[in-house]
Amino acid sequence: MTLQQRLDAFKATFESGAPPYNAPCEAIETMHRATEDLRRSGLAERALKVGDLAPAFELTNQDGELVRSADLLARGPMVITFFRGHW
Amino acid sequence: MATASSGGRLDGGALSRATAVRTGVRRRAKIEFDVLTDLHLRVAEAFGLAFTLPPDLKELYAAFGDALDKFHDEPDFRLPMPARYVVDQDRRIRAADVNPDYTVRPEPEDTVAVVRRLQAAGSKAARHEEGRR
Repeated sequence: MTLQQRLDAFKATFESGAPPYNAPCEAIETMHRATEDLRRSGLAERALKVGDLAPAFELTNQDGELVRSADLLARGPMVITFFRGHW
Repeated sequence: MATASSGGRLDGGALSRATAVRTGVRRRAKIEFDVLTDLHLRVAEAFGLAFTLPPDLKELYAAFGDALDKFHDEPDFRLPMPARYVVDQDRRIRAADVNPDYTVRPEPEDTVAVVRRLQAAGSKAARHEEGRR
């Protein structure tokens, strides 16, 4: 199964309102509306794309150590994934 | 490989909680790359990924309890769009997957394939360079 198939399966369960999430219909509608608004805003099209120069950065890792993009790139190509985190 | 997530307060208990979450995510997912904290979305902004949640979604997330304004120190309820970039050693972006729909993610195998291609091209260039010396 691909990652997207697994995500789609989870989404279908969540949006069915089934336990353990018991997501109410209105909540799901709010989430859909927000995603649609973000799509229509065109923000994704304005984000950095292939051919652009990636900004250099310094961020702390899980151990509180400073990680520099320049150091990572000195070792080879770099993959950077942005995720929304938890709250 | 590196992963940047939003959030993590530098003061008080929230950072340790955020760090604990990151360490937990890392252990559970058995990932060996760094999980980075992009406090106040500075890097996400530089990539053009930061956006503000609409009011009704703010309210909905706030109702879940531990809202992201406190946890991520984001009083405006901002988040990054999920994105995956492959960056070559010259800092050029060679692959970019950005989706306003956070339930859609690129396949990891596709990303790995791009990295392998770049690595192969890089070592070929290095060999070429060596041959010229």
